[in-house]
Amino acid sequence: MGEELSEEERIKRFVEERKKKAGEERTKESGMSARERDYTRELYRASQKFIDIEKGRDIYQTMKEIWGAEPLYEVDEKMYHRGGYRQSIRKKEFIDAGKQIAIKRGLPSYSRAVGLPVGQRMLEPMPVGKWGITIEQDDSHHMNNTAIQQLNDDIKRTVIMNLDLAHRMLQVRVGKEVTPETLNFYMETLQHTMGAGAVAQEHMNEVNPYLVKDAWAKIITGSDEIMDGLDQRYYIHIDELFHPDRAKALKEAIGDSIWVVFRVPTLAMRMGDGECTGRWAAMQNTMAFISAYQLSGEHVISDLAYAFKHARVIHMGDKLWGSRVRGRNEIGGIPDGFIPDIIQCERDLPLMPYVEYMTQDDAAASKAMTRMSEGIGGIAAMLDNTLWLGFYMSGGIGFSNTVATSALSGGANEDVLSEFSNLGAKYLRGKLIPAKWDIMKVMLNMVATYVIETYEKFPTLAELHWGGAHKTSIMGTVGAGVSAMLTGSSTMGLWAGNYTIASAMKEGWLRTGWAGQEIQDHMGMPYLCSFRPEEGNLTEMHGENYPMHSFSAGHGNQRAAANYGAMMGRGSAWCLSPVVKVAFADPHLAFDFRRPRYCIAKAGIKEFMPDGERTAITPACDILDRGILKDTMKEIPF
Amino acid sequence: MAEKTKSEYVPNIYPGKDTVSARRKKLWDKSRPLLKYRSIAEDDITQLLSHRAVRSAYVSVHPPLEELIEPYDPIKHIVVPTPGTRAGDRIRFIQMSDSFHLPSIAPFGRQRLYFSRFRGIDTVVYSGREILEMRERDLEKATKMLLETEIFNPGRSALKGITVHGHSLRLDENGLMFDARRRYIYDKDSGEVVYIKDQMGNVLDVPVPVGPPLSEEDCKKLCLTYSWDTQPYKARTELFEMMSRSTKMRVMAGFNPEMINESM
Amino acid sequence: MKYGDKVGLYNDASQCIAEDVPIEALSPFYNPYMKDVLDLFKRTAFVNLSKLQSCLKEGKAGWETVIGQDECKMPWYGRDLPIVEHAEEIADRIRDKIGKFGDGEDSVVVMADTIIVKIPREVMGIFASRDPVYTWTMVALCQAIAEIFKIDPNTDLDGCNMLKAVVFGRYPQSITFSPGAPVSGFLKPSNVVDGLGAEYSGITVNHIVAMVNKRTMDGLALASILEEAAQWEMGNAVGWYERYNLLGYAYEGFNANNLVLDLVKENRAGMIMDVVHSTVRRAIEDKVIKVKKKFASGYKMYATDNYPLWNAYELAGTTAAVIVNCGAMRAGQAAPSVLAYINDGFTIETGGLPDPDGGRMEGVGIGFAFYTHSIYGGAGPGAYTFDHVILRGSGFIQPPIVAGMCLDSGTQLFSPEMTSSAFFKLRDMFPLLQNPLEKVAEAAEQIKGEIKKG
Repeated sequence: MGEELSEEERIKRFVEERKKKAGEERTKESGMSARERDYTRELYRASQKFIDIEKGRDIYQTMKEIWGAEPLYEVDEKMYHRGGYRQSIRKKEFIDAGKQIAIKRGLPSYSRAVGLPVGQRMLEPMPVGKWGITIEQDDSHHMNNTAIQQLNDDIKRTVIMNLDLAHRMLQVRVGKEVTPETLNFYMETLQHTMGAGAVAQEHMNEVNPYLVKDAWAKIITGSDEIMDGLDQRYYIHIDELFHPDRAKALKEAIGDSIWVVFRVPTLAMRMGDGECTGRWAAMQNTMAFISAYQLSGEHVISDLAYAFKHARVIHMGDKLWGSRVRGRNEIGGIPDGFIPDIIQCERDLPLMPYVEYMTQDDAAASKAMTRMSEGIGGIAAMLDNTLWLGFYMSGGIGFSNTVATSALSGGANEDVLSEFSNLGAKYLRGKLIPAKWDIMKVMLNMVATYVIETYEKFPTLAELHWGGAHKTSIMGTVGAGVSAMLTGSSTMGLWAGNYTIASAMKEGWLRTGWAGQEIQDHMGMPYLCSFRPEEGNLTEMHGENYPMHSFSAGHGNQRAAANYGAMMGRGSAWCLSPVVKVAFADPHLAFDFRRPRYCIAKAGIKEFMPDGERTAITPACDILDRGILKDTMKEIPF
Repeated sequence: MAEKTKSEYVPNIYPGKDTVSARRKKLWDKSRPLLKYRSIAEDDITQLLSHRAVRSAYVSVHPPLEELIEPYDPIKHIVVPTPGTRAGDRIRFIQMSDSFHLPSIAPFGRQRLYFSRFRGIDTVVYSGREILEMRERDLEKATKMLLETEIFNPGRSALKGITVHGHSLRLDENGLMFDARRRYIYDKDSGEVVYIKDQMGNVLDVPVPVGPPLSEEDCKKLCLTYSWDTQPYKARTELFEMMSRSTKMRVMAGFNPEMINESM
Repeated sequence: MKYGDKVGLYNDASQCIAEDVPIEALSPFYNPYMKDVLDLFKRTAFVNLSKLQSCLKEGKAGWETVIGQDECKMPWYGRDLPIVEHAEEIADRIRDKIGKFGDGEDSVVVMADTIIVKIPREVMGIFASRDPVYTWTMVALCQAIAEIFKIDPNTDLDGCNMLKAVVFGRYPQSITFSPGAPVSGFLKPSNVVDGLGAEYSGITVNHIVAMVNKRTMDGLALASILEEAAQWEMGNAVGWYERYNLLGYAYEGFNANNLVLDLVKENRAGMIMDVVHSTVRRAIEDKVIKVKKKFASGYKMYATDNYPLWNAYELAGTTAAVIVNCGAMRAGQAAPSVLAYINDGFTIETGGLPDPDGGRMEGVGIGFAFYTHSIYGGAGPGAYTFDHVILRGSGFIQPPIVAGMCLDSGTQLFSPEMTSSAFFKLRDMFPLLQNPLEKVAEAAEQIKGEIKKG
């Protein structure tokens, strides 16, 4: 360094030295790779030709709408000059609210005087899905978004019980007949008991019906004969809700069994927890049986209760391990295979493997892909990132929400996926790819590099998905979804998702997500087909309670893409359970599992009415203004 | 145990012979010195890091190793401690963030460079940033290399101890990476990037210039990541063959480690 | 002998203790020293009489905080009893209640203010779990104190339950006991162990560090004995995975062929990647891997017919790198980085051979690096248990973490001295725990003849 030299001399010498070295380096390189340089120059020239093609992509339009700037340009000239938080209506509201609260409670509240200055960059609006609704980022925080809350609630308040054992017991041990009439009467009684209405004992405390307007129960059966005998209000109309081929497959799989899906009041489940659901439903169901079939406090009642509480009940989630303990029917316990069954986005589409869609026409294939994105973005990403990791595990600091939000944003994912559909149509000619790595890798590398280049070409997309976590989450989902759709194998999907992140993305950009985001991708490979107890297994059997999934975010949508993609790839009507698939087709549910991103978008603009409100019992409330059942079955085309 | 042979092993470092692969090979090979692009005074580095006052004594977390009474362990006499360790310095950090757009180094690039060129390190890689923790005097020395050499593009790499957001955003009007705390600005008169705040966002008494941002041409030349308009990633056959083999081998090894054989 | 693999075992001065040892001699099923250590861990309870006495005096029970333990206080129920003075008498009474079921081995020993209870083998043989370490010891202890100090519902109604509360904490309102309760064991109660067969993996990193008095290679050995046993119990070493595990722990934990130390010495002033390169060079020289293909750029792809052995070399390299890096920094916090990121080094350097533990180590290491540096939980490496959800994904990551913490010169908040002070004493109480590396080797030497005969 030459400490003796004066500052000026040092700088002078340094500059000379640098110039000399840089010159040497340049000569060395140009000598070594003249042809390579030509190639590169050629490439720049060639790449210019594709600009027009890039401008024709959906994503170009979407980015233009969001940013109001040239999507391919990598400089934001207005950066730092956008007015800080004032550019956001929501932030301004928050500031006002924070001030009001601070004054009223005599204790500081939300304040932009602390922490970092927000809004130095553009606080961009976010179009959700392809529904034409734009929200702000804050609107997708689960605390601000009633639809995300209702998604959580509607799953947690659902439990399904089978009546066959109970009916046999009534017939054999009590000598009661079970007929369409008795069944209808039982169902009518059940609608009353589900809201905690008393049936057998006088002088009980009952609940204001407005508070429990979202409590009901419906029959699920595959038997047309049974359905024909039922009052049509009391069962889920599989034939009307599903594409005929899907309806046929589901009915065959369910057979003559009679299942009942119970919706416990949102408020009850929220006051307690998911574990309350099974208990509430079993108690109210047993009471309905007692009343409808005139049973006494006799011995058989205990068997009935056992059947409903333990022997013939399906919870939406398992108990969690001790270290993150929670009871059944909580988000962490949902097996991944149930998630594609809970998602309803595909239910009106014809039942055939995805590769056959591709042979039909581009529009059909893109439609299938759009539905996959709708379900994964609107449901799987919310369950994993927003609810389980962002809320249950880390208390809602808002970061995981933004990652999940990337799955909500419209245009981007669909664009990549539909481009891919066109590509696949050309190469595959309607045949599934065998679930073999050596074959799959060719297509997968093509897709992965396509997504990677899309981010490189569109600096605005890179800004929209501003964290590596967002991009990683999208990359894994696309890799897993595409591979699963082409092979019909969830395991191949999972492998592809892991590879896309752990290798393809990492070595290309030398970055992936937040520090822990590759955990599942590295462990996922040796685990993929391992027979060791805590490793391997079908992706359908995984879930947030699978140890390595429980603490590393941004992957629930990847696994859902593997499962849902494989389901659509095979052309099967359900993923893990036909009963669960039908249960979430129920049009009475406040959250529409067929249009999840639409619900979330509507909630973002405060147009989604959730269940479980307490206004009927809070001061100064006109109860007639509340408690009105929403319109059901209102079809909005995709 | 098979009979030993003397190998003529030369480390691979990285596959591929394109310019980006060549950059990777260079940065991750400690036998190849990094070109020095600028000089930053030691006091300025101390200021930027903001862990101690300029020219103040280092704070110790424990007495110097020589004075430490420890239970016997031969290993502690084999491994050579760094100067900072020997003195008992605190462990402090530098956190660097690198732009997504033609960066001269990127987080895993840093990690691999740190693993090849530094001793006594603790580092964690994120998507936009990477933290490096070392004993304080060792850290200051390492920081000099990080800021003075070819891996630092003042326009697209930055010290961000807190509020790291911005690597993936478009650049500002002067071509600099976004920083919500505005730690650095572009000085139009000198053409240099100047830090007006330290890495934690505290205003500096005397601003620290760190040199001009690299030109677009230099950015492309020094870029460490494959990109559609420099070295397209999809054309990297050696790398893809290695990655594809590695993923399959991992799956096979996880299923049954005895199944791996030479033909794979 | 099932496998042909043989290794030499070296102590931390690089002296050969046992030559030509079949790897089966390093299995918890054959190695008598390992069996003794596991038996000690499984059957032993400790009663800290000073703590019991002071808690009882202050009316302190049922705390939740790990450090401090000061949030619950009921001085009005406090009882000032000279429990420590009566240590021998308490021990005698516990012996009467528990020892009589054994084979005469002295199952209850007083050491200063601690009573050590070893539940007889016969008792453990009959019961399905190893919970009698807690259940029998705690009940017997309460009865012994009640007998000596004449506490019963007539004489001291509240005293009965204060005593119960000090010993049991909030159990069974809580599913387990207060952290640092007066009665403790090496392993967790079974109802708080997540995952089948993970019992031996329930131990805290700092406890091991304390038990080996921060001697690095001993830390590797003791950690490997426990984690290896856990891996066997979990089913992770059955059949296809057996040789893989035996070789892995031999090289990583028991300094097989002095590989770890050779690599450390070669790179005593080197960098982490230097260790990777040394490991690859050594594997080529030992014919574990060889060049399969050379690409246009000169990049070489290596192949192996013996992945379990290459994995063992990688584990030795990883361990050596942890020692080199943590040794240079003399800081335990530097271990997770190595475990997280060295793996790519091996993969890229060999052209795609599976990295340590086939990728498990990388996944777990990245999680560990993140959680030891983030707001989401964590703590320093020393406070983790081996079976923590972040670490349990690989059975080979635990020993190098212990090595890293052994090398820490006092930089950690949750240091072994803070979290595990009692465990430093155990080393004196149980000579069995001293020099585990040499003892494993000596035991292997002792039985290698029998194993070779089959």
